[in-house]
Amino acid sequence: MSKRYQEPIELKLSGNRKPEAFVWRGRNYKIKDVIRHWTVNGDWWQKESRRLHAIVTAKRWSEYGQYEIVYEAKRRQWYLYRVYD
Amino acid sequence: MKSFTRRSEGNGTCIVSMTNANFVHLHVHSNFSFKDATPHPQDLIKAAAYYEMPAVALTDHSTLAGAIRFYRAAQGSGVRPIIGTEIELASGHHLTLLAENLAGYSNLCRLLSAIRLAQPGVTRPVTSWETLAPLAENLICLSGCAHSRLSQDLIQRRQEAARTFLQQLASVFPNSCYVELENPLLPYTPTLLAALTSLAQELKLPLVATNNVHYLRRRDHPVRDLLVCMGANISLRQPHPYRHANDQRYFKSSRAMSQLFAAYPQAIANTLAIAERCQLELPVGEYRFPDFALPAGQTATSYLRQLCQQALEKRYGTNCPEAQQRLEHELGIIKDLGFCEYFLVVWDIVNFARQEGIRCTGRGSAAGSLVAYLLGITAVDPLEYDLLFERFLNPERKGMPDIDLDFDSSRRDEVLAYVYSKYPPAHVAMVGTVNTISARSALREVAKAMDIDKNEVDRLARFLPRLAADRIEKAIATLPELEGQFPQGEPWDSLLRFCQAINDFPRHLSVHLGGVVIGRHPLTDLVPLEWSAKGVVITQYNKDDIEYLGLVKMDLLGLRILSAIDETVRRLEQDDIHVDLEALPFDDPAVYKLLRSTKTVGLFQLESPGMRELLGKLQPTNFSDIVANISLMRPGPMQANMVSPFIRRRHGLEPVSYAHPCLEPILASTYGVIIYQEQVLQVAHALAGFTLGQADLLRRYMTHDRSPEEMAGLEAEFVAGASNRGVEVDIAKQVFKQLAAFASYGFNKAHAATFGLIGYYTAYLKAHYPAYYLTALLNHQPMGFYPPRVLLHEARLWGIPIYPLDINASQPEFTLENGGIRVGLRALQGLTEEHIATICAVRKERPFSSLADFRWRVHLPRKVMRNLVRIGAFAAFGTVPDLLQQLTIYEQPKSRLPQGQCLLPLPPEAHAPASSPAPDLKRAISTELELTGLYITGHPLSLFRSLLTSYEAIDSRRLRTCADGQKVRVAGIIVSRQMPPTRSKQRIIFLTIEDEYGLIDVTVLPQEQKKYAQVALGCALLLVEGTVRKTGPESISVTAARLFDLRRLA
Repeated sequence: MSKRYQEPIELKLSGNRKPEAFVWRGRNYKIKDVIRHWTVNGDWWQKESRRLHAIVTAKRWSEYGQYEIVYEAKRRQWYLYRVYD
Repeated sequence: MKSFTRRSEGNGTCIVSMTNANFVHLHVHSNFSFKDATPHPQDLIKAAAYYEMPAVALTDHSTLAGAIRFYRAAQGSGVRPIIGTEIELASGHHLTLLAENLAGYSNLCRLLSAIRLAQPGVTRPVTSWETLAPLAENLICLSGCAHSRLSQDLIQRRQEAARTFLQQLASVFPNSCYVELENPLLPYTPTLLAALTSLAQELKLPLVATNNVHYLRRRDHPVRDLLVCMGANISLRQPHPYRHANDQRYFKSSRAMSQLFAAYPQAIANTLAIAERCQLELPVGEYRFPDFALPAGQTATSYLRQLCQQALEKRYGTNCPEAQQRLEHELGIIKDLGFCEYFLVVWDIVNFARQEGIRCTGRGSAAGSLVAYLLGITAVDPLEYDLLFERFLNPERKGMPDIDLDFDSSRRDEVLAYVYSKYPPAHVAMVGTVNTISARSALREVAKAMDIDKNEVDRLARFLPRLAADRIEKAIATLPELEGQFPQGEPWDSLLRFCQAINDFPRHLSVHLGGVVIGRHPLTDLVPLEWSAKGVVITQYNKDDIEYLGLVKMDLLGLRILSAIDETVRRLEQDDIHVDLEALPFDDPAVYKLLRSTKTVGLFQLESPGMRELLGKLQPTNFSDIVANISLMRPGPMQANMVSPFIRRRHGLEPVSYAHPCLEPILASTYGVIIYQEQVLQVAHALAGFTLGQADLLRRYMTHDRSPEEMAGLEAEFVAGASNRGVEVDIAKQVFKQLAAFASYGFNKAHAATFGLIGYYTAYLKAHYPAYYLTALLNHQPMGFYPPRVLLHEARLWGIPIYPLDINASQPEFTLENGGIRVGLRALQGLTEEHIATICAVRKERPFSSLADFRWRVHLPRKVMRNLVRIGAFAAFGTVPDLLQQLTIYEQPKSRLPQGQCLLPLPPEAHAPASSPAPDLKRAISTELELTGLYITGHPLSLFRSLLTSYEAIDSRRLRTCADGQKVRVAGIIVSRQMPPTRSKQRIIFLTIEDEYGLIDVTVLPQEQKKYAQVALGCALLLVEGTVRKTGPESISVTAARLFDLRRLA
């Protein structure tokens, strides 16, 4: 089960450019690992943005959860896309 | 830094040792995976070199069509080419196959041939284990991309099926089977990779990483996506299994691939291991002539000599030292170059044709060879016309001789059948050629994929001249007729961009016009074969690839003019008139009178508007003039300003001078102007002491772009040679400059002479037997410069009556009747060969006596029947309106008839033709044009004549009496439009229009094009206001000031 969002987040990268944490609704989520990632191009002829999806395990306070974050290339913005139960 | 050494093992294996390399792309598609990928094969080599990869594979879908150019691009690049392919099994499994060595490459050729030949016309053919297994040796197999059945099985957890497949694959490719891992960063990828590696581990199979490359850069993905839509005939909005969800299948760097497969480092390392095993070296640089069956006790050299000697004595007698010396010279070179067998193979084919009475002639520089002439391959005496052997075969330059043969088009298939019967079938195939995407087709197809309005695009495409897809944008920006026509903004900007991106992309393979390859061994040892759309087996390689592999390609072309000539001579024979063209002297006054009159419509190579103008200026009186005419009528000589001096000197309007006395015998026949390539050779030989072979090399050097330094070097060599012969340095330099200016534009005299000979025959036949000749021409269309309607009108202008299509009198083809030409049944559109055969068979019993009689005895589709009536085929039985009315009654369904009345079929006497007014001329001409493309009853311009008179427009007869500079108005139906390259580089539109009395040539200069280009290029009927230009005794044209669409004025 999961819940869908489309809210902007701020992604933080480590020194070797790996995702380290993201900030959503003012709260910091520390990324433990990237489970998997993929890209889709969308309808490029309709000028839809290329998107990079990643499912990450992240922790807020002491709780771990799985989150799907998405990068929209056109807007150069990361979003929280889905939270898995 | 990478480094490697290379050594040949001499058995098709070349060993290259590599160091410091990281990754090699082993699953790569070029644009020879038609409409599925974007990179040109040579660009893949460049990409690999850029990323410092030591090798790269090419694995197009079931084809090696791009393999040779890929291989050639790799030579000297530091990147080793690995030749392979991606095939599909009937089960849906994809396999990537790579050739380890020459034996493996041969197996690839045989495998692809077996697959393609078993499935004609299938874009993505499939194969079976039974076909694959026997040809698996020396091939490395990768288990297939993410699209394949194996991946689907694993994603859907059909483990057992996946396991069984891999086990079978491993058994077919022992020690050469790798499990292919592809990571296109799609949602299912991690699951798939895990499942594949687990299975590979279980079965102890090695892993290999690929990226299934379909484009070079990520940003090329949209172009590839568009190509797939074009290939599938869908729009971008529609899904398709071949479309990719993202842009990850590009030519990634080693670093990117290593990161992508960080969890599987062995898969990366194995790409190098596989590349190390693939060390193919193609056997190039040696000729593979077919085996020729020699008489007992003879070698190829001795037999060739025997044939030539016999022919020499027959043609020149036993006391002709010049001919004998020339023969010895040529045979010596032919023997040294190892081409005796080649000449015998060609002679054999020509000999067969002559024995069967099939007209044939060799064209091109081969006419410079006495051996070719004696063998009957060519028909022009090289001694009489001063033609040079070294222009054809140069001992200084090793290259395959190239003899193109023209045959009577209607009988060329018999010649091909002979070749196929003479040599083992596996040794013969037609040569393939690559059809590429052109501007017009690109515009239409891309627009369709983008869902852009078809009508709008069609309207624009009509105006586009024949040009490459990447020139559309420039054409739109510069051509006046397109000004304001092309919409701005999206989607039009994207449309143009995509057209540019796919310029020159291969579209599909087809049959080369006449190329046949004959091998000593089965062709599939080196060349993959497939069926063409025309149902002929072709090579997947084009002629350049074939030559690169040392195979012998012959051009066996069909020339319709030879068919027309043959038909003319046969018809004359039937009427007891015997014409032996080969025995004709070249001094027939009637021929030259015809040429000087410029009434040369229908004459081979002598009929185009430009040629007619040149004939009018030049006023030929002998065969050499014909040869000169053909040579001068090309963009090169016109741009180099060779034509005007030639003509002025010919007519004594300018003095002829020679820089040195030794040039006079060489250039006297062309009044001191260098026209022929042979003359360049002769001048270098006579003045600077070059051998003819060296002189030909000099000529070739001059015809390519050379730096100032290179030209200076050539000049120094030339001047030194001339000085050694006592020629002053200034004179030598002057002559060198003349050579350099003209070398690029000189024409091959031998080729011109061969064509001139055919041109002479056609002029002879038209001058003496116009009705026979024009009938034959009409029966062998399409050919020549003009459409059939112009030829038929030409016959009318020659006073030959034209008899319309008649249901009883017309034969299938055009025929002679009472001194006139009867239009044939085939002229009617929609009337098939089957219909025609039925009509002819039925009327053999007795002629048709009425429309009803015809309907009673012959059953044709409704539309065809109506067209026959409309064209006047039943004019003997009534007028068109009456007959159409009868037909309408016949076509009524029975339910509409009063009870008891039966209409179909009617007894023949049921309807008598009613009396009606005379046929409407306008309707008749319009119908004839619509249904046959001809005007039979009259000329369309006659309908406008009274209007034209009110505009003070004169006809083409009166135009000939006008003075140079006179202002005139003329009108006509468009016959041709030409826009050849000009000296000024500006576009000039040359139009030919036709009125009731002949042709009128019109020139539209750039200034007038701004306002009138659309009319000139878009309208069928024109009124032209302009100025008369007379450039010779019979050379007249109109330079347009204004043009009007005649239909709008009416």
